[in-house]
Amino acid sequence: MHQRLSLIISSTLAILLLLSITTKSIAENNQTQNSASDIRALLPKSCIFSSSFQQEKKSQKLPFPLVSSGQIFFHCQKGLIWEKKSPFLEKTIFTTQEANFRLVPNEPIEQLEGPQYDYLSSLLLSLLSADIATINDKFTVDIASENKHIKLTPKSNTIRKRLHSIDIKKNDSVENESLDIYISTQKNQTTKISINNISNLDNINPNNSTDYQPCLSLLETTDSDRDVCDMLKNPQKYTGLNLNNQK
Amino acid sequence: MTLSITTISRFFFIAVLAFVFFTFISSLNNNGLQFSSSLTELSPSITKGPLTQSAISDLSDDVQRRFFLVVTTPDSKNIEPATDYLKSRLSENSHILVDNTETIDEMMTTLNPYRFKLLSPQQRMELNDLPASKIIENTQRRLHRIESSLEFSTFEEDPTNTFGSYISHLLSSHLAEKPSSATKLEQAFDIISVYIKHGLSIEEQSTLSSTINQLANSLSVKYGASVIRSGVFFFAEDAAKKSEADIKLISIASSLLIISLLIFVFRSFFILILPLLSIVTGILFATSVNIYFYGYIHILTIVFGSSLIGIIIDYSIHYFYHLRANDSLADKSNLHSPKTPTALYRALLLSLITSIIGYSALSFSDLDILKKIALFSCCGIFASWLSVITLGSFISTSKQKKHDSFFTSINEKINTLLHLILPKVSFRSWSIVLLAVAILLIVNTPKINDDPRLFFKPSPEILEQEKQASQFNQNFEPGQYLIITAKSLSELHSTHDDFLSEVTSDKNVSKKQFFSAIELFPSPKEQELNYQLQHKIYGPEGITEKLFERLGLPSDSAKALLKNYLSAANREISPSLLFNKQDKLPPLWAADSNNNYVGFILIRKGSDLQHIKEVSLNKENIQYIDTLSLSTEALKTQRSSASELLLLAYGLIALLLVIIYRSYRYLSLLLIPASATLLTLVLFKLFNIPLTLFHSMGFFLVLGLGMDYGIFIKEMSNKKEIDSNTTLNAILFSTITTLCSFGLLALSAVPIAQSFGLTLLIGNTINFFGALLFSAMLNKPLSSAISKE
Repeated sequence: MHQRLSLIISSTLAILLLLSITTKSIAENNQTQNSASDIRALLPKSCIFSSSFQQEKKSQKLPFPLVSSGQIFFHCQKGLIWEKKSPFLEKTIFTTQEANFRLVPNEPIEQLEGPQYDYLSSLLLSLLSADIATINDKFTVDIASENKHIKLTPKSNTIRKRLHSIDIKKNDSVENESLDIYISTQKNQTTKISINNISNLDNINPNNSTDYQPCLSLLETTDSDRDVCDMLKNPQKYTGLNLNNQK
Repeated sequence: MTLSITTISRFFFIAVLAFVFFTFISSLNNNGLQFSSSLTELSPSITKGPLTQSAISDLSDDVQRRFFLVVTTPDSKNIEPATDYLKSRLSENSHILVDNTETIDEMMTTLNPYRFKLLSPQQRMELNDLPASKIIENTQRRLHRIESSLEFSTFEEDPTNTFGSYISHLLSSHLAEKPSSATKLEQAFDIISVYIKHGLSIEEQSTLSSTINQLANSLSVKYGASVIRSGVFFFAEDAAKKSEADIKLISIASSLLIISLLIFVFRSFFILILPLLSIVTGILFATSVNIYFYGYIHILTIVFGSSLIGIIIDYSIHYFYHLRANDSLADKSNLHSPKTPTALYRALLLSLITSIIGYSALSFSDLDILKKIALFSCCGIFASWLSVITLGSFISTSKQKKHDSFFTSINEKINTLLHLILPKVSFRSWSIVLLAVAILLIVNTPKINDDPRLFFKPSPEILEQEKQASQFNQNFEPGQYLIITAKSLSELHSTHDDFLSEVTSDKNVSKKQFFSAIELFPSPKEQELNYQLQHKIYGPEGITEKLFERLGLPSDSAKALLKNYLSAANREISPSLLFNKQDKLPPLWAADSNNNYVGFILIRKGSDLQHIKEVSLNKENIQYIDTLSLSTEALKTQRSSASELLLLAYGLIALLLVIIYRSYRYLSLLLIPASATLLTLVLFKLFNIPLTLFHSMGFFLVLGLGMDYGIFIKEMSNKKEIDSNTTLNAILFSTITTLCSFGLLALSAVPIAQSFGLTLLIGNTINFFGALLFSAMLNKPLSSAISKE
């Protein structure tokens, strides 16, 4: 009997502790199911693309916005390389295999662990790949302005405390496909990310490892960048103990 | 003497009724009658220091108050609405708190005043190694990242994200364990935690359980969801359900059997008044005393209590049979109006004493439940005895005719059989045979089982649910953990750290295999070090000041942070901040006013337990707790001590016999229960039934009942108005009623009750044969008894 009781003690504690950190979701009763095509029309259509980005972060506390810019390489089956070129050089790799990394020049590879990175990775990957199922799972979606603007509100109360909403606007003023993402977070902080000049790279074969040439060329082939593309393809090589070896 | 007995008994009887009345009124005015089905009372306590014991007990109580529901859906879209529906419906139950766990925000609010004392090892290293300019650059980089908007703390309060990053470290390194990937990939899930606000009555438990079942069915229909249940609550509820069924079966069936038998023998409904009143008085008094002392009554106490009917009824049976047992030597002329049945009272009193000796021996057990049963039984039989003595003279008559010729016939047949089997038995030869059997049993002992799991048989469905639920959470070793005791917070930390560094020197053991409240927070010494290190951030001309200057922010903001930093200098953080919140987190930590500290270290599954145990053995303030082996050891000790106490009980009764009868001759009365005990053991041996603590406890009652029979035979043997058939018929009647109760107990679904019932069923049957043999030998040689017939 006592063993059974103890098993329960253990399970109880275990679940409790897990619960204390798990971001828990509460579904909205008035969940609206939006037509997948409406949402998809606003998000990138390609599975593989590259683009430039400009990010502008505003905070009440800061007297001026924090502006950064760089390039993106996205592969819907592998993940995202977010390369910041200004004001600092650094690359962030969000992979579809729940492993995320950051590379800062002259510093060892940093594996990004924690619920905030898991959430951000899942958020960016689902938006850029127009993963309607995941978007509908995580957000209440409202479409407005003649289908040129969608507003995503997190369903989870816990998430909503930090991430109030995400607005996505299709930008028709430029020739190439582009979109603006407005992330509204706690303490009235907003981050605008403009993703411009989206170049469709769908014609490359994702199953062929040699077809990462666009990734390499995009990132101005250096030894370090080769690692970045490899991280996207084989993130498991860089996680945990493997990462220590890399260092 | 008779007058004084009846006067005293009336006084006591009124006192008993008054006590019952006031206890019931008082309990009804408070929370009503409280019933418990707690499972901890079935486990022996692990005796440690008082603080450790109370810490274990608090943790155990906490565990019993929590249960979990894992909602799973094949379609991930349904998981949130399904969970939400279940949560909102569960919240309608006022006895429980749904999802009342510590949130990250609550944890941060609690820790915020102490944030200048907190740093992760990585942060300590960076503050030590990196120049301020590099930290400022890193902070600026961070501020440009998207994820910085999602950080736990705000830029205003924590510009370098030191506190936010610490919380993140706390979550990822200690608390965030992902569920097993196999399950995660197959189905979406969410976990709902439920905290039971107070002890639930059996009905409330049952209502809650059936509500959960109904909601699970609704969820299955509405969302295709499954609900997996996990927690002690479900085991307790199942045990209570089984006990309730047992109570109904035992009390109704044994009452019906006994009533039928009484009506059949006495052919009168009037005869039922005394036994029924004695049963009601006994049960009510026993219940009141239990409620008075413990505040509630345990369900298993009632199971055992319901089997008391078989013993309680004996007083009425003997009363009816032996009412004419007047003190005939003193008053032969008054044979047909027995107003002063001294011999009967004397026999009933002796019978009461032996039964009380038998039952009170149960209180020597370390098991709380057996102590409660002992108190319940002793009070029950006392009150019943009292009501028979007090009310007997009002509501019964010696002229009541008995139709028990079939009892006489059975007894005569058994006597004939005994004559054939044992033609020339003497007390001496009987004793010698018993001695031989005892020696045989010592040489060839019956199988023994002290495994505590034997006494708890949960339903396979609940076990399966528990097994399934364990796939969704991180798992610690079942029933195996470490306890650290210390005289100061610093000592607690140093003992913890020393142990971990020693135990992890083995390549197969890592720090991640342990979890404790202690490791979540730095020691007082580390806190001081962390505070000094953060001077680099918040101090004058520190990182914050320079960063704010670079970002064009006014210097006032940095000064406000400096002020906060300085005001936190004397604050000291302790695990009690988080782990003493009663319903939020389990109490993995305890401290008392004398600066004694206790902390639990949980061990993750798959760890090298042998190595951990070996390292802990060398540590003075660390105890490795293996609840299964400790419980086994505790049960073994109790079983051995029960055997010794049984011998003591025999000794006490022997002394009582010598004092009362002023002769060693009547020590032979002990042959009846001794034979029953030894032969029961022989049968256990033959049928390979492992002997447990609860069988041993049953032997105390075998002793009490065997002595009852012997005493009545002895007491009535020299009463001319009572022939030997009367006494033997009364004993057979009593045996049948006892067997009805304990025979039903042997069929119980509760293993403890089953062991107890089986011992009594076999033991008391042998007691009856022993009593017949004793009677035959006491009155005349067996051969002459047969020839008379």
